[in-house]
Amino acid sequence: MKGIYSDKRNTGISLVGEVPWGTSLCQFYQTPEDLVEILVPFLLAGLKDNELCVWVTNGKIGEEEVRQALEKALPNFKKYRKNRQLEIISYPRWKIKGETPGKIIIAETDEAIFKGFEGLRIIFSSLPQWKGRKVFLSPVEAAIKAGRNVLAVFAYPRDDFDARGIMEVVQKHQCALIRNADRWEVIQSSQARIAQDALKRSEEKLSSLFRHMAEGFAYHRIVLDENGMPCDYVFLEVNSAFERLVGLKAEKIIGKRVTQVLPGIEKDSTDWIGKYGQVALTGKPLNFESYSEVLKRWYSVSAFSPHRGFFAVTISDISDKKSHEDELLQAKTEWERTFNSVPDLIALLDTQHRVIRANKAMASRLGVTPDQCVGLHCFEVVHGFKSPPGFCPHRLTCQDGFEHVAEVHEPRLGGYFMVSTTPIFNDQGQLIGSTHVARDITDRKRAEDNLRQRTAELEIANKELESFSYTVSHDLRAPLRSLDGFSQAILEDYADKLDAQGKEWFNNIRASSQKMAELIDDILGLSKVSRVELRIQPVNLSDLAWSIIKELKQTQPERLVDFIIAPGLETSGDINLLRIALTNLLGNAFKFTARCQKARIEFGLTELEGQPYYFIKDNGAGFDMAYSGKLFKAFQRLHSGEEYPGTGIGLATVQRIIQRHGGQIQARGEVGRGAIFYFSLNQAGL
Amino acid sequence: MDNKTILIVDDNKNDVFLTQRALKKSNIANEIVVAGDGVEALDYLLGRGKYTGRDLRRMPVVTLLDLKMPRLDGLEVLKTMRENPLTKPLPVVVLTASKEEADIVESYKLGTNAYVRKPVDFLQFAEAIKHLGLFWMVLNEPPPSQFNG
Repeated sequence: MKGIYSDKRNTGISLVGEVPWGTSLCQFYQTPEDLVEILVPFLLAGLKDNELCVWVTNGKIGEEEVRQALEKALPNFKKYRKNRQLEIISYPRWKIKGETPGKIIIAETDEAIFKGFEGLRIIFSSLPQWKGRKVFLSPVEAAIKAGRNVLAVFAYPRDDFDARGIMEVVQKHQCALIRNADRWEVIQSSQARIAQDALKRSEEKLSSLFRHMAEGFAYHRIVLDENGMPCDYVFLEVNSAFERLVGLKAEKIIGKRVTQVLPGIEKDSTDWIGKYGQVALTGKPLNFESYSEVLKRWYSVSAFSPHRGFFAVTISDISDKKSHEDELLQAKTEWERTFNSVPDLIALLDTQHRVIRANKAMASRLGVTPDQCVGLHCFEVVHGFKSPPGFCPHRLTCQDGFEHVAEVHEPRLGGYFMVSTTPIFNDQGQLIGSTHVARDITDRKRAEDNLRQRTAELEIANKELESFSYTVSHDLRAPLRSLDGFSQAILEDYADKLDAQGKEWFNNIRASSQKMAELIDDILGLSKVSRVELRIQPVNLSDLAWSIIKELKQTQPERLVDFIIAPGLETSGDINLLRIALTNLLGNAFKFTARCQKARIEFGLTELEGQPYYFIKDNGAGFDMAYSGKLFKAFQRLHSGEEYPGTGIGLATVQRIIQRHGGQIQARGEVGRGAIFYFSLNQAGL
Repeated sequence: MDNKTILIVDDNKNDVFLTQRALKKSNIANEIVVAGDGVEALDYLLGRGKYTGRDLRRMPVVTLLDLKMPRLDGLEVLKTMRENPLTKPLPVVVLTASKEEADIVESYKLGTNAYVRKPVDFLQFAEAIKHLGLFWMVLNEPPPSQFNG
């Protein structure tokens, strides 16, 4: 994997340039100055690039000389030492550091990584003859093989090797630096060259893939806290897809910690750092889908560790997919909630009358859970039959593919139901069942029964009232006729035997009889306007008023009354009842203006509280508004019979007629200044 | 005029008295036959019961028929009269206290010749009877069939 992440390291040696992690170089030197000339720039490059740099000294150039050489070349020398990025150690001391000598470089590299460095840059200078070299060469080779970020330079004294010896040493390294006259030359081992070429080609391929892949790719180094627990990670390399998906530019994040780049990520409900830490430390790959609260997106993540302490991730944005899934889930939840909250009993039935699905209302009526309904035969579980009953609308829907409705009485479910079955078709248009909705109409049925019973009772009561009225009208009048008739007979036949007083009293009997007959007629009229069936037809109230006025004038032709009737008052209603109403209202106006000098009676259309009202207005006796509540009550009178004759039933009758037309009536008046009666007829759309 | 009979069918004796008085006051002195209810009226008209053997060629020039009566009411009498060829052409005046529309309509449907409501005021009643008497006894030409022997 190396190289793809641009983990090429600057050697600081211009002849060599950049090399990948896992490179071991060698130098053949003759003087201590040779060592300083090559190794100091090498170390400085490492320090600059955040690598842990270790110089293992031996023989000709010791710890002190190295320290002095570096101090001279490096202004920040003390800082690096203080930060423990730079270590100068003698070979004998270094040798006893590791418990397992073969893995000492691996251990040291890992430690460097966990301390937050990119890797380990190590120098072995003034190495002894070939024989002893294995002691430090093998651990480096083992670390390179294990994929650790290690870069090593071995410095051999030139004079200790013959030409063959030099070539043998070169073969063990990727390249060798050797001084020829006063120039440094690079000798590359043939094997290293072949391997490098192959690597280069493969790198190019991978690099292209890396650049062009649709998934985001990022390579990171994990950062551990003092307890060795993952606490952060550093971006090392990202591809453009990653930049796009995460919305962060490479140059802004490379080399930076994620807690700097995405502050708050450590508080995200997904423990990104912990998850990645596990991958980087255990080497076990991890695939997961997670929501990033910081980025507000859903990601599908594959994380793996190419070598300990490092991890790579490929990510794709699945927010759209997730939101689609969420929508689906929400739609499903909503649908189920609705389905289960409908009070109607709903079941989806297949063509074999089996329940595919039932809602809560259905299931609870059957005393089971919705799941327990599935697969049961509807006719069995609901009606207790062995086959679908004759009234079953689902059977009809299965036969003809149309909706059917039936009213079903099912004592097992405790009531009456209005059952409808709506066919369900599959995508091919085949009938696969029906939606069976049963609405409990028991209450409605009961209400209907009650209504029917009350209507019947009312009809009987009405009949009784009719026959009572008939009796009243016929039988109550007969004695009155006798009282009147015999009084008259006495007045005629025994006139000579009666004085004026006697005659007057017989006349009183006659007048009373007639008054009572009038009362009977009015009561019957009132009960009649309540009972009679309305016959609605167009009515011209203006014409009707004039015809009534004509009759009124004939009763007292001597009176001069100014009638003002608005023309064209068209409405609809029962003309007979409206005639009675207008006769009463106009009759009253006529009656109560009897003592007026200039009687004036108006009939027209006006507005009252925004509603259209008819009005009949006179300038007659009027009435005291304090008693207006009594106006429309039967037998209640605001004037004495001697002042103005009447039975006190007229306005009660009028009100009954107006109410039967869906209208309202009210009156305003003032004693001695007239009265206005307002009425509406909603029946007529007024 | 002396051979023209008036049949009054009414269960109320006072009403019958007042009707007779009114007729008399209008100088209508025809023979008056009174039937106390519908059964008696039909007995007279059809020569049954106590009228068995009555000369059925003598039929009332007008029948004043009350509606509400015991045993058989006025509408049933009217119906029977109109179904029987013997009585079918006879002029009938329904004279009653009722002014129920149903009664008026039904009476005309069954073939009454007139419908008069009895007013409580005797003077008005007498006036009505006077008009009736004059019309049916004087002006109206009765159907000739009732004189056919």
